[in-house]
Amino acid sequence: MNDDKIRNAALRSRTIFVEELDSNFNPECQQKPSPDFDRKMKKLQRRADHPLLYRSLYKIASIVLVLLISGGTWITVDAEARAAFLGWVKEIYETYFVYRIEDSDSSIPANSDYRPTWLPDGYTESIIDSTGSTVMIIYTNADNQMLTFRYTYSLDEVDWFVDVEQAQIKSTIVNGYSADILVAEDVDCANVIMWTIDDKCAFYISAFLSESELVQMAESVQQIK
Amino acid sequence: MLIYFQVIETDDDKSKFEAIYKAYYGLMYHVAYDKLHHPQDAEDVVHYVFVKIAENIKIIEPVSPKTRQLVVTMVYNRVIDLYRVRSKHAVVPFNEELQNHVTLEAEGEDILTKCILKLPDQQRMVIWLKYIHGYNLHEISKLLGISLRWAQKIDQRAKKKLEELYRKEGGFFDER
Repeated sequence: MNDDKIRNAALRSRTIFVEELDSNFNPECQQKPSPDFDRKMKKLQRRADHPLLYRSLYKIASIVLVLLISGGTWITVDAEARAAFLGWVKEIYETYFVYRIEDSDSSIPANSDYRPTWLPDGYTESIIDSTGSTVMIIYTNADNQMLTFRYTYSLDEVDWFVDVEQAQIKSTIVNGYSADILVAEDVDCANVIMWTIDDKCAFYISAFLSESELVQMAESVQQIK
Repeated sequence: MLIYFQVIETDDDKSKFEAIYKAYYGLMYHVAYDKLHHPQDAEDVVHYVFVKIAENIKIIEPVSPKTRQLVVTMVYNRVIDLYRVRSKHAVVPFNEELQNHVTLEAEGEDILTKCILKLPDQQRMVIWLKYIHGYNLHEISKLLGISLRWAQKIDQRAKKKLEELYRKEGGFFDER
């Protein structure tokens, strides 16, 4: 496959794709921008008209940001078992993080099986779904509230997109391993705890539980096979 | 937001941006609304894409069929981002295999074209930006609003996946 061949195929494929997306578009009946949208665009234009002013503000904001990040890094290094957390990468992607493992050898055998040995009262296992290297078990209670336990042992193939816009991120420890707890601001959203063990296996539990209950459940997870 | 700050510096760039805005606002809104069915969300998507265009105006061509396709796919890409974050739970597993949201008829097309269309959305977008526009990964990361490392990862996966699909479809590699 040489570059020219890929380029030609890329051109053709995008043409097909865009034709599908704009197939119903009628240039004669275009939507007019709303007043709110107009305001936003004028704001963008104003800032383009005064680049020096805004570049200065940008520099100041950047310095503040660097100071904040530096402080955060120092705290992280000081307070967490950084070595255990190595490889659990959080990429900032607009309003959410991407959790993933990089350069992992993934030495956990494919038939490893994990389960929480403690569950909150009333929850029973209802669904087990195993897809490739990821296993998901859903527990439900009488109120139809779901508790999801998921783990994956082929870390290089998995990314977890985590919405941080509607959640507060806190750090904690699960059996000596660094973990993140996401406390949802929306009461209809479950809280989440995520952690890895020795750069080999990643876990997350999503449930309508308190932080301490999430940690308790996370610490109860054991390899059963 | 910091994203406004760098942007358009010269009159030429400003004219280019305004021409793109006038030429494609309606189309971009149409594409976004067609997927989201919500006027405010559609405008938010379009606005986001215009900010990205403004930030990267120097590497974006003036109004042309190529630019038209670029802005449409940028809108689509942003819509897919919204799909991902709007999950009931705070965390959603990202299964790239499930991320192709458009069903396309590609009968009669060559194997490689079909394979690119089958790629997960992000991977396909990176292939397009790289091979059609010649953008490097740093430029792609800025256009898509992602980190360079993530762009590199998507690029690696796109190549691997494209080769897999190509072989699976009976494609032949000329090793010369």
